Amino acid sequence: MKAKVTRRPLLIAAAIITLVSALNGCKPKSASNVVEGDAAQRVYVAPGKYDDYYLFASGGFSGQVGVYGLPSGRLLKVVPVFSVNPENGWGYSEETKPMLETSQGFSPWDDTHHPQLSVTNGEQDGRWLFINANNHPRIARIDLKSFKTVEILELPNVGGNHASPFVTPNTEYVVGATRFSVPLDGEDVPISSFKENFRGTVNFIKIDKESGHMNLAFQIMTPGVNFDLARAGKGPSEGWMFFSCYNTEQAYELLEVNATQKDKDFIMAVNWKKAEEYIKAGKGVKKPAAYLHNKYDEKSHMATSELVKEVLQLDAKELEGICYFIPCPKSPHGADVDPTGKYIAASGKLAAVIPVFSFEKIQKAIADKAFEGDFGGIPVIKYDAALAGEVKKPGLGPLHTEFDGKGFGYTSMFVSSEIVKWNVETREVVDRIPTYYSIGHLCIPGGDTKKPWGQYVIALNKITKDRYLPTGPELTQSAQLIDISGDKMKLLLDFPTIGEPHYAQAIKADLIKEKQVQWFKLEENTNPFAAKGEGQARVERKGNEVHVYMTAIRSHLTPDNIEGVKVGDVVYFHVTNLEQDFDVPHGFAIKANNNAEILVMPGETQTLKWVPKAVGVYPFYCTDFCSALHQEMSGYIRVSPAGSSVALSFNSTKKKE
Amino acid sequence: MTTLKTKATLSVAVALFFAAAIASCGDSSNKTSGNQTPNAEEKKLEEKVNEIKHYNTGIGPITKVEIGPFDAAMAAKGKSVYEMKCQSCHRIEGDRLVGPSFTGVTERRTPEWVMNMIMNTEAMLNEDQTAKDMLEICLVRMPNQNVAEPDARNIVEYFREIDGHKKSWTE
Repeated sequence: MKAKVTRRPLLIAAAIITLVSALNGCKPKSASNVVEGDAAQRVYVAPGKYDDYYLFASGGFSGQVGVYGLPSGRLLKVVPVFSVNPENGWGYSEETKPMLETSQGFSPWDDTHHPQLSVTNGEQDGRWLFINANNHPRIARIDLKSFKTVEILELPNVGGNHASPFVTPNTEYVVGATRFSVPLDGEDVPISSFKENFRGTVNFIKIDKESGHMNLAFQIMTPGVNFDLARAGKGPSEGWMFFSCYNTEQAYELLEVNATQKDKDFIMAVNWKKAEEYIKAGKGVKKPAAYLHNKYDEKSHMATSELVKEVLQLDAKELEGICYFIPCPKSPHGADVDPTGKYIAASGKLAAVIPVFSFEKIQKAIADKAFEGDFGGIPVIKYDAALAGEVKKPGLGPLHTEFDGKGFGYTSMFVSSEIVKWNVETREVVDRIPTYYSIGHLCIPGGDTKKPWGQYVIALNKITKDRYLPTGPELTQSAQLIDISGDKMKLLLDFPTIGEPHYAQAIKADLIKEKQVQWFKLEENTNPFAAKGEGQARVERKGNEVHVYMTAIRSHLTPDNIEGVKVGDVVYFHVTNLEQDFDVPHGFAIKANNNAEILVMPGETQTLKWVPKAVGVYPFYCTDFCSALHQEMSGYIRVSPAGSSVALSFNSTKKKE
Repeated sequence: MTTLKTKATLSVAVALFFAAAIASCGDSSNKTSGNQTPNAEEKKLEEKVNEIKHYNTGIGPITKVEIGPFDAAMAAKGKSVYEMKCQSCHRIEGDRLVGPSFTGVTERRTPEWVMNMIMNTEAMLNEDQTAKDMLEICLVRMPNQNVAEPDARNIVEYFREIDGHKKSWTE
């Protein structure tokens, strides 16, 4: 017995030592031994202090945009974009419903992937954020003064708007290219006729310099392939856009196998200035189409939806010099242009190298006609004729590259779960850091522009198991903040995100925070249902419609007693928030509502439709805590039987006098 | 002795602490504290005396308002601003709604005080004794309605109209 007892601690110690060394040997390092000592200090933003950057992360399958502060990783706001948001009435209020209309009816959900900040002279300007709807092809524009989605444009002849919305250096255009090639909208053809009937389209959406309004300028028709991502040329390569494409096998079933047969797919280089010349020369063809253009007016606080019936098409096969293919190993994702505009890093997710193409060599290859043939009538440039060099053995599954502005590229490696830093000129790998786990996109603030801020890289990860407290089978998604200010990358922070943080862009906070709208001016409110002052609060009947022109101010709603409504009536509450100060929204909710609430910002008017189904007295109230007497901010509406003789009446301040 | 001394030190410390706490909360050690509640008439008189005595201009950007001959156009503009931004809480006549009604305001307040209350609401509610006393009655902090200076001045003109004062602020 005694002998055993004394020996046991030794055994345990030995076991621990073996275990520890075994763990160190074959598992990726755990967070506890990769985080540096001062990480906590470097991400701590003290109470009352602001973050240095805004991070706009796609909400992925939530359809929205998540806004975070960096370096803290704190969630600041979810901007409703393509999905309804009962929390503030987006897609529920009468004013916002048209924003989610499509040519095929109201669409309450979508899938966002790539936020894109507007740029001027190739640098971030903090004016707008664009984001794509991947499922039902659309592009949205968010006004960064109000953080509201102010425009949504549908794209015709597109299946899955994935290679979108990337901007040209002065935000002349944002692009949207099809992920799933499809026949033209409305064509009924067999799926097996893919090669003959399915087309790729690359759409250039013109952005108005002043208002930001989007208009589909032209659509380039290409052979049926899958477009993945795009980046605009800049500096020497300005005027060009580079799209990655896969499924050049033109498979239409079991893509997992059939679309990964070839050693090389393509990067498609598009000369958009040449396309503009062809349009000027009248080479574009107007084709019938049907797509919606939805705009939200920040003066009337109302959206309108307009049907556009025509699209201008350019055929890449017929019009020489618009499109060229460059072979790229294998199923490329990113086609990322470095800050100098000289290089295009294209990562094939199934490739063992990262090819870096030279814009200068591409131009020479075109001039020399160094083509290896054509694909669907479009010239294919010889791989070596376009290549600057390859990053050899970077890791497994290279996806996307962003740049620090100091001569380095950072590429995400999905399969080996890491970020690899390499020298753009020499193509040598200089550093690598594990991510947790399965990184997709990555983001360096300004990392796609001429002037990256270059302080951090953010890893946008697909898998988070063991990173946070578990919450059943569905776990939060995750982003990681990594310091890149020194020679070696240093992990600073994990933070959870909404939906899937597919891609993100970040910008210095100063470029946005000074321009914020704090309230809307009542004097400028042009909503036809606004009650601009409590004296205008009233109730009007038009047939079976009852319009309540209601005002809200701390802490009462006017009118707060309404009678004479009958079963069969449709009631519209037009609520105007009379406050003219920062941070005082009022909410409005009513019992027995098959709709949502509305949140009304100061100076704004929003309308909630309510269809009472049964006789009774229904309370309504303010949902957004506003003052000491917020609980008192409420009222009643009486609903009488159909055909009842109760007269329409309401109270108001005037009446009390 | 020792214990007593300690106790005394303690209570001094406690008292100091409370005093500091109260001071830092910006609490008013004011006339309404205590048992007696002055009746409305007395309070009104006291206020009036205070206003006249100290000519309270309030706290804010407005230090002097020039009152000339009554300007009907300005008063009309002031009325429309009142209807849009003030009417929901202030009536012209009768009892207090959320805030006080405006009849007689020219006798209770200086024009400078009125404009500062409109334009510099937060600071007035925190620092001006008259505004703080009103908050104790109304209990809802007056919102800053972001009325620009010309409109605040127009409201002053409208108040002259309400009180029938065509010569000066008080006549």
